[in-house]
Amino acid sequence: MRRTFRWSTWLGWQLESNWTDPKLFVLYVIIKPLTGSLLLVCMYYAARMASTTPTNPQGLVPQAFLPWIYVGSACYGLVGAVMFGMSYAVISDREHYRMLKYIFISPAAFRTFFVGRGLSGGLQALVGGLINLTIGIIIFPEIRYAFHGISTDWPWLFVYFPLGAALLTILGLILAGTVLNMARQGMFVSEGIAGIMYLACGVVFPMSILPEWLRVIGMILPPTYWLEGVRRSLLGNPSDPMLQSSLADWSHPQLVLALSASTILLGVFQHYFFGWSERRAWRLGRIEETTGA
Amino acid sequence: MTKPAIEVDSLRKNYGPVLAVDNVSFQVAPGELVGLLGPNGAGKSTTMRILTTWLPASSGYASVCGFDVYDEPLEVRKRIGYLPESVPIYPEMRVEEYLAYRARLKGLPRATRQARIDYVLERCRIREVRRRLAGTLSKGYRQRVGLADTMLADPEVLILDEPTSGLDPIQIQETLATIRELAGQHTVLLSTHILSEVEAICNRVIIINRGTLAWDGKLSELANERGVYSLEVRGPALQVSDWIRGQAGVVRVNTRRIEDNLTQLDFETSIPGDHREDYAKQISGKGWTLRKLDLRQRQLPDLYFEVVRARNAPSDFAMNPADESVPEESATPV
Repeated sequence: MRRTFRWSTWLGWQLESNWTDPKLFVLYVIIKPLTGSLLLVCMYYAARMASTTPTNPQGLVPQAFLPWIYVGSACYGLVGAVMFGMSYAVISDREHYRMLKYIFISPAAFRTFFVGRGLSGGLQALVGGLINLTIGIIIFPEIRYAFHGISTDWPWLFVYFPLGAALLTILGLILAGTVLNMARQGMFVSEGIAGIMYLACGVVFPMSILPEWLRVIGMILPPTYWLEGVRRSLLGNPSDPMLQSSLADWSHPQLVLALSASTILLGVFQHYFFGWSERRAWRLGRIEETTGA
Repeated sequence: MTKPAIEVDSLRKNYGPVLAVDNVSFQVAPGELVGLLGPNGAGKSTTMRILTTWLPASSGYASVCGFDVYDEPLEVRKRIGYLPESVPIYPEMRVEEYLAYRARLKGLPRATRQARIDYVLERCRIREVRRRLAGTLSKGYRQRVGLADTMLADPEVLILDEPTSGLDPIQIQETLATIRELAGQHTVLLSTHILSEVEAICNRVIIINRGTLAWDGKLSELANERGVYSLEVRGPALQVSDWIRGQAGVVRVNTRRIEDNLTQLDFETSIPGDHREDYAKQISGKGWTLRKLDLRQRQLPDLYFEVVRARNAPSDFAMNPADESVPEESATPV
């Protein structure tokens, strides 16, 4: 299992880096998340300027919103890379490389293979996220100010990261198991779930501005707890009511408890679901089914 | 008795309403090199896929090295090397990188890994392309990289699906020689459409047709089976025809009048051995003239066409001595 994990991670790294010139790849790792974040920065400035009135020269959008979305975006990079990296590995290895069946009949743990692929994406996203934050701190005074004024809560951050890694891996395996039994529509499922999470988990849209029903969905999705915990560890609890989520009253232990409980429950579900899904895909010949997606 | 390397018993596989494999049973002894033949869609690939644990059977039993493919797939996977017809490779990887990756995935110990990679590079004659990106390889090289991958972990059983597909004649010869050398140390199940390849390297042949086992035997047995005689006799056509039908063991007679009093007779006899001298004596004794007397032993292509055609169109190809509608068939390999 350890062997499979190690080599699938290596494979994921190789496929992602596409065997290009390492310098070019480093550039890609930095630029990809950075451009995504800069888009948000532009949105922030546009919203801030649009909401400026003579009576309220600061605008309706608080200054703390920029570091808030910047951190959310960096964290969401991890969600995407780990969770959707795994389901994308199913699709790319089955449809594009046609290697999935070959991996399936090798003496390797199939589930571990996907975990490794997800991890390699996660490590790249982590590096990208850190670089992204560093650049943000250097360039934007709002972000610099946010990090300067608050001392990062490292102990809680170290609790949230392994918990989040476990949660995202489990969610990724559930999604990979689902995609295993789907053809081309598997891509849409991944993208759809990514979209729902982006909208409802408080990545860039504060939960306070979401409609009630969407807030409920956000509360059901465990990545919401993780994002809230990481963001609070880095930036502290936001004072502006707009940035306060439905979890604003929860303490760190409560957040960790909710995160741990949902991770364990999902872990148990994933254990049975992925096994069932793998057997079903095997029985129906879906491991090798290509649809030209 | 030695445990069979491959055991298939009453195997069935349905794809929805389509019965791809129907009650197939056979055994392959350790070290045996067996050719698996059959037309497209016969059920060969499905049988191979079940053996490699790629697909589950609908019913029946299959085992590799004593391990049930359904209950102990991981044990089976450790013991097989499978070469599919179309070899998938990550195109961005270099050949050596790809083999190293596969070796690690297959759990080759670090101490022997590089030596084993060197060995398969040499054995499959791909050393010269080891630094090339897999995506730039020709089909022949890809196929050989696939074969090298198959041999990497030195598995007990090799399952090869069209291993010479896309190779040039010299590469085919070399690959077949390699496969022949592998027999003895490994059990090899080889699927191909090229009958001459099977004749060249296999001792035993299994023919699957329309999902069922149509023939299973050693090629050496064919030589002892009935031969195909071809005679041209000058004499009264009716009497010549009656004479041959009266011969013991003669089956599947086909007569054709070439010209007045000259008849061509093609027939088989179920009595082993060469009866040419006996026939020549009898013809001479009857005062007829023998213009041609030829005996052709049945070869794999004859057997293949006979088995496949007989099953596909039974009414055209009865095995009854009284039936004279034996189609003329060539022994041309596919």
